[in-house]
Amino acid sequence: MSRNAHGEQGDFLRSLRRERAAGFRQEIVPYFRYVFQSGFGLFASAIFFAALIWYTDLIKAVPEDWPSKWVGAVVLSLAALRAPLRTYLRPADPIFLLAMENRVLGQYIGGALRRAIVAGVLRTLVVFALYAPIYIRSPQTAELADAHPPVILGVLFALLAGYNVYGGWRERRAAARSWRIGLKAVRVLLTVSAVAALLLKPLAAAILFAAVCMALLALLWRLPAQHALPWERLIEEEASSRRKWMGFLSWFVDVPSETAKPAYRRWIAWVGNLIPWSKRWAWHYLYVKVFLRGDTFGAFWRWIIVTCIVVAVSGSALADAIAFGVSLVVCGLQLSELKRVRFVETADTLPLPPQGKLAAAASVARWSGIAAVAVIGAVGPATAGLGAALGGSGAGEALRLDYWLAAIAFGLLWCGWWMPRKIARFKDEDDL
Amino acid sequence: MVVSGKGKAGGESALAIKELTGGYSRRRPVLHGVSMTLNRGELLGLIGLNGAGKSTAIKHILGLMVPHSGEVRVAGATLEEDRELYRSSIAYVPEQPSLFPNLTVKEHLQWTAMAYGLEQDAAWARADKLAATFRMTDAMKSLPDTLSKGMKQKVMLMNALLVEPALLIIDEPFLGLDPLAIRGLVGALDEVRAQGTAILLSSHILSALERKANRLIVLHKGRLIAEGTPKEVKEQAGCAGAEATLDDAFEALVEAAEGGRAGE
Repeated sequence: MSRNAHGEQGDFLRSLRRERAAGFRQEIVPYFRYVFQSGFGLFASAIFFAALIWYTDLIKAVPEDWPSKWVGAVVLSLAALRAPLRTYLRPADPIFLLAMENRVLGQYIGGALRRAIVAGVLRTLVVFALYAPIYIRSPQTAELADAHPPVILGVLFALLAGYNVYGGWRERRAAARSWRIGLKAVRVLLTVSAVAALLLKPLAAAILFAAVCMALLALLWRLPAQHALPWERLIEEEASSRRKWMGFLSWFVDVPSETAKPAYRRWIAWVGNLIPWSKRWAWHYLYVKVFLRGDTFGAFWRWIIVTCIVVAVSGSALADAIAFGVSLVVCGLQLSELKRVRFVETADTLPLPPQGKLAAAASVARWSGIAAVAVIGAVGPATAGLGAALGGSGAGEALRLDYWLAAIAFGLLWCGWWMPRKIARFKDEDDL
Repeated sequence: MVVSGKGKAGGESALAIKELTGGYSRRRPVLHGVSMTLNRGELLGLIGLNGAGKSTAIKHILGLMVPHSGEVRVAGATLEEDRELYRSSIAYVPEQPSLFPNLTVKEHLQWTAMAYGLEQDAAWARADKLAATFRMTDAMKSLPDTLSKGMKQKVMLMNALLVEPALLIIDEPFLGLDPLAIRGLVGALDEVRAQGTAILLSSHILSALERKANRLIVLHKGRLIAEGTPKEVKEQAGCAGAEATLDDAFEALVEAAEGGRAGE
């Protein structure tokens, strides 16, 4: 093939990626209007301004017991570790683009990777810019900050973030799942160690340590059998990214449904087996299995865990109750997805009343909502005072049963009654 | 062994279609006055070119489409007369495997058994036997996305055969199956037929139908152009010679229907 033809292919691939990225943006941006109309914009603004006020107060006078060391290590690690890669690849691409795999790798994936690295670096720099004033002013870290010039730290964290995004790419290339998981685990461990060292240990030694960590990673990347271009993994990841966007938007407006790849989740899927073996419960059985193995449950249980952690460490009874309420509103919205479950055509040929579908969906949503209320409602009161012990600003408030009873009552009303009722009465034209 | 729908309303006919006209549009129906009956324990082969109306006929039988005129009775009842009996008397295997992505093979079987009201122990005993027949025992805990197309088709067949329905409808059952699975399927079909299940089998593999079908129906452009035993169909096509195959007869019938040189 002539050099000219190669150049044309490169131009084609670059423009293909740009067009697809633009197409995706055009697909989702119109839905944001509905998201903001739903009150989410107001809610997000309230959270933003509350966080801004809290942050401003904090940097004015960082409390002596405020855990600035581990907060810095955690938030900067989280920022640096994230390594998403939007490729916009589609299932048909291996068929049509395989013949020019090398140029796909260079012009198409290379462009995506560069953008991901830039995004990762900027994200980490923003987080560091927010953390740096705390680092400098906190009594726990002020002395360390004197020996760690913020500009140098910023550059080092930017390098670390970029290296992590590239590391994510190298992990994707590993052919075996076990290697991918292992490499990611090592990357997490070494990055967290490097971030902690850079913040808390003498700078020269910490830089050397971070360099050794990164060199070790580079060595490990060479060990597994790897794809030059992991087509299937990238296509699957791209589909997952799309599903997450559509899943979020579907809380507020009807969006085209994306078929999710199910997860086995043996740790929870067994719950469906507790359903009585009877024709009457057949729809329930189906909905429970579909829910527990689907994307919605993946977001649902993670959200519950995050809320449990927040209420456990917040150290303020009022903050606990607010976090509980907000969390259950989101849980209810997640559960409302059950009304949109689409079944295969053969399901309509079985001897089951079609009207039983929504009743079963509502029942599954109700019990899942009640379970969420029970779990968070148990963790909150049980951990009252823990936040203060961890250095929270709430001064170790005693258990406020009045707040918790009100919050639990709201949760039961929303997840146990209102949302299931809406699901049971769902019609396609409903916007819930 | 219990055959769903057996012994309830209706006589020996598992399926009775009378003057069925139907399709997606009333102005341009796909089926034109098609009639057929299928008795218990019989295997009826449904033959036709692509677009002949086989799938439309099956959708009408399944109750997924409403006839423009005529009626469809399964186990003696129309869908309107007794929805429960009608639905519980049919099991269906489509041409393309159609499985729930979030259910394992075993869970598909459990859900089907629950939907048809089968007794738990009997259902598992039958499921284990079917899994052995189709060599799927090791895949019982797998989700569909980890199965090949042929394995997915086996799951569809296992679900349908688990039910032991009055009427079993199978669309292109041999596509994607390995030779041992085809042998297992043929054996399983013989078994359920002996128990009284009527089978409507749509296939382009005419040699298999010639060997196994009691009767054949040939559809062309939505009209029934031949009906009878394989031998009778060949005679109707003018291919009665000992060496004539069903493929020859089918070709002759289609040409005749299109005004060609059939029968020469």
